[in-house]
Amino acid sequence: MATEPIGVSMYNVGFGDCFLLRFPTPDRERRVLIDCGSIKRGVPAGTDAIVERLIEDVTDDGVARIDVVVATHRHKDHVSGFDNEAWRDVVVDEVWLPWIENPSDARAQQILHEMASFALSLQAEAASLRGLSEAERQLVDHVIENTMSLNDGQRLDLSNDAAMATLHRGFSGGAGGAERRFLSRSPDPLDSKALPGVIVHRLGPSRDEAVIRDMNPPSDESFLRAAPGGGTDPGALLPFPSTMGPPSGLPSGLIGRLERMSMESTVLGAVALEKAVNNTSLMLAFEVGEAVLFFPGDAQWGAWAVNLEDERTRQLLKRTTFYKVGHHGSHNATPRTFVDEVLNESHPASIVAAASVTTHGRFTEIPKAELLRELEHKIGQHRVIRSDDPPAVGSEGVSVMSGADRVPLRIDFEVPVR
Amino acid sequence: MSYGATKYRQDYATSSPVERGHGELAARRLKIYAFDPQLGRRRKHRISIEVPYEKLDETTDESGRVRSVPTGRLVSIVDYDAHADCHYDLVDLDSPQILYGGGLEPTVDDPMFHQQMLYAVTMKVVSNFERALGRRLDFERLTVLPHAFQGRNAFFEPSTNSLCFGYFMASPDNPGENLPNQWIFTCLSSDIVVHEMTHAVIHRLRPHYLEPTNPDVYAFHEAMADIVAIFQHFAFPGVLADAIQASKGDLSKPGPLLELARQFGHSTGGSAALRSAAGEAEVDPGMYERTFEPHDRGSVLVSAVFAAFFATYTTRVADLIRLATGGTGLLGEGHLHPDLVNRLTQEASDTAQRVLDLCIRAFDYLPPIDVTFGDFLRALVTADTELNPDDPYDLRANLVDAFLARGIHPEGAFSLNESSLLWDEPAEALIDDPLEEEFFASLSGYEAQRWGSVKKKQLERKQYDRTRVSSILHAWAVAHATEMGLEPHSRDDCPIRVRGFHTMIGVGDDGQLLTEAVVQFLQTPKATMPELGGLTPRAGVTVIFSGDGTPRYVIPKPLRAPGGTPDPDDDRMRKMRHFVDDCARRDPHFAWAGEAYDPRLHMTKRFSFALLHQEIEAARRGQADGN
Repeated sequence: MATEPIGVSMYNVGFGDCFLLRFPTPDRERRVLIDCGSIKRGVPAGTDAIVERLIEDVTDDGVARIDVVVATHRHKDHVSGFDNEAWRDVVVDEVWLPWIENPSDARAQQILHEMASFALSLQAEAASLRGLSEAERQLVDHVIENTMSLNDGQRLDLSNDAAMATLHRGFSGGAGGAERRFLSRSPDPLDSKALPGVIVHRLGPSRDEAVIRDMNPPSDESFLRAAPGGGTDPGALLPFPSTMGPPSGLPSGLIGRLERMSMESTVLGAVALEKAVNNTSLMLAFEVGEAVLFFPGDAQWGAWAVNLEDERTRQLLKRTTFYKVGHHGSHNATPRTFVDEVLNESHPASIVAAASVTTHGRFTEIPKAELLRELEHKIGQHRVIRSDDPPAVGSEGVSVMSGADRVPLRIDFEVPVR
Repeated sequence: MSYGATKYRQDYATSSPVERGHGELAARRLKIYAFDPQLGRRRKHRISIEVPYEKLDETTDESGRVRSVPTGRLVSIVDYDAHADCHYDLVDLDSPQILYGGGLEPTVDDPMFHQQMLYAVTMKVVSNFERALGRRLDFERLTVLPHAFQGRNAFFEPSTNSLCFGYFMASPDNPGENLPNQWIFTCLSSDIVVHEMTHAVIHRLRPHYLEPTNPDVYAFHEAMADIVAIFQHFAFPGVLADAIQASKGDLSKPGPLLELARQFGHSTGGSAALRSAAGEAEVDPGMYERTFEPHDRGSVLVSAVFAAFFATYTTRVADLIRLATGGTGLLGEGHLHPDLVNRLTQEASDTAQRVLDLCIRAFDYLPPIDVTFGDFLRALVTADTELNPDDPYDLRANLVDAFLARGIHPEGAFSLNESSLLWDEPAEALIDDPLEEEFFASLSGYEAQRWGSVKKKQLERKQYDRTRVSSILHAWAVAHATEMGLEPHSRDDCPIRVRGFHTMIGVGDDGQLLTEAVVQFLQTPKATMPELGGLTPRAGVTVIFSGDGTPRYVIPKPLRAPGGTPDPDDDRMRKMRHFVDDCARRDPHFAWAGEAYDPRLHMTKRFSFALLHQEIEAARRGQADGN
């Protein structure tokens, strides 16, 4: 067993995730890429530049090689970087995807189909609504952008399709190309030849029906259409003889209230879709010696709760030494119970949390300042590292690589294994 | 409030309005779908119901003819469609054809029938409550919109005091027993209408149950709405007799009788009704604690009440079954004898009415705020003990068993003995200081005047004064604040308010009158508590006074708030905080919006009935997919 530390690189992609893990093994370094995506236009260095940098970082003697590529879930801010021709020449052994991506799993395909079709309805609904506030509009637009195809936003079943095509069919590889593996929550460690000596724990996504409930998007019939013009088919009106306009005796305020409810219903649809997709996230923990690196994707409450209630996984998470802060530091992607009662409870020698974040439009609560403060309070000062604002003076085991314009490009962590 | 003789009402359409003596109309007969248009394809599921007669508002149409509109004392049907921005003409329920023909025939094609059914079913809910409570309900007229919007939803909207029903197209891929893309009207599902109307009535009885101060409050709202809706099925004798024949007398078997909103469930691609009271074979005692979503949590309460109903019904019919089987108690193959079906139907319908009446009457014994399922159990036990002390069929014991089996334990009760489940007796000091004598004279005088059975003419009479009643109560509460678990009254920092009061007149099993007054007091400390997600911390207490003015029961929800600032370590404060945190974690909005600028994170917003339905709908569909 090697005793050198594990290397983790967090690429500064803006609003998104991109992490490269390097596991030293006796014969050579094994590399795992977890996500590569960004939603914010004007990423500090540009997503293409990040991908270029990343591929250079995994190239030895002219051959780019990553042992395992992990895509936690199909949101743009986690996969957009895979929409790049450069990946064709990267040698990849295994691609790990959540079970929901399995093309031969009928249940998975049905849920994906519902998500995509709901995203379309949401888009139509939002386009016809006039009264959304600026903040609501931005949130709905974000969800639509994050879910829909990168190219034209029109294609139904293939959200983020170019990037997903790379993940499903791309990369260079051995004779059969990279092997695709569709993972779900399991009590047994994953058996992978690509990562000898690394125990990979699968914490999500679950196939338990109770948890799958949190992956179900709403359906378009659930929109409350109480404003003229809403809906995908404005011609679909009741075939009853009617008189235009409100009748006498209609209490004042009712029309306004109903219209407002249409807006709220649309916003609820948007956040529910976002949550549903987030909850399909792969949640993985990599264990080597004393090191436990925990990557929860963007999982939200339902998916987290299972792991906090299960004594086995709870004990594992207590030993976390590297934590990828969930969902760019949003409040309910890192449960308070995890911070208060689990994280750092077994007092590992060194612990660090990495938050891939940036401010994004009006979403002033991402990252949630209180959460980052609480994390820091729990694991120690300067141990919570933000991708957009890394420490000027390197903290222990942390170093920053900046681009020409001094914008951080990559932040490197050393995670000790003993 | 006696139960009266068990009337075996004719429920197929008949054609004359019901009269009291001397030509006073007592009831309107109106046709409805017993369940919904899907089951209503069968004639036996298109029935007539009677609702108390009332004078409707009138209007003059273009030709100068005076006609009525479906607007009565409590409910006003207004047929505006906000999605299409249009309205539909209203039915004239007083036209001779309708009055003497028992109403329009059930059909999905005529919006006037939709209005008629909505009027009939909402007023039926009102009369169910009035009958059980033994008094008239009095609230600001509800606006009811049969076709308010497009969407798979229906809700009670408290801020505009309205009931809004949606309509939508049946799922094109999986419409169940409907046509693909067929219009489905939520206002034609009796269950949905009863459910939503019950929300409105509960809101009238306990308005502060819209404040989600613990996980049970909204679940209780949902559970009561389901209980009233399902028990209503037992009031249709023809339907009930069929179910008894089909299930061989075992009413706990699944079937339309115990299902809610069948068409709604089918049309949305699920293979089953929306919710069902038919319990699973094994009761899971951990369910209550684990379940969070209000409809799901509420269904734990629904199943407890129904388990008690089944157990009681089974005891009541055991002798009939033995008689019919030569003493073996084992029913053979084939049909039940029609006489047996009739008798079982009577027993089932009478038991159902008793259980429903008890659930409604229990409201008088509930605290004004922060209700829990455990409180409801104590209220049930107290209400029933008061009225039916000897409990011949063990209904109370069955209720306690069923609640206990589901992990519902009343807080603060010493044991599960019946006597310790009764609400506490007031402190000595309270008993020693009854209300002023004038109290009952003024209150009952006021009520008799307002609600006298048939009013022949408007008389100029001395008006009894409600404000006088209120000030007597207020003075009493101020004098006894601490003994009731309230903070001392202070007009500016911690005011005590009289929330409501009414008399409660009952006839016990022994035929004797039971006259009491129910009073709710509320205390709202001045300081706001930002960590409670917009909830206002309150203390409250319901007090039952006997006819001589002595308090008999005190049902308290105390809150330590010295000087008008709630103590963060107070037990109820701690629980509220915990619940608010729990809601935040699950709220998908919460990832995006900050409390400071987004009112959506306000607790009462989070629990809007309309949006709750939208969420449950997604989750339920998920379940159906998994089956």
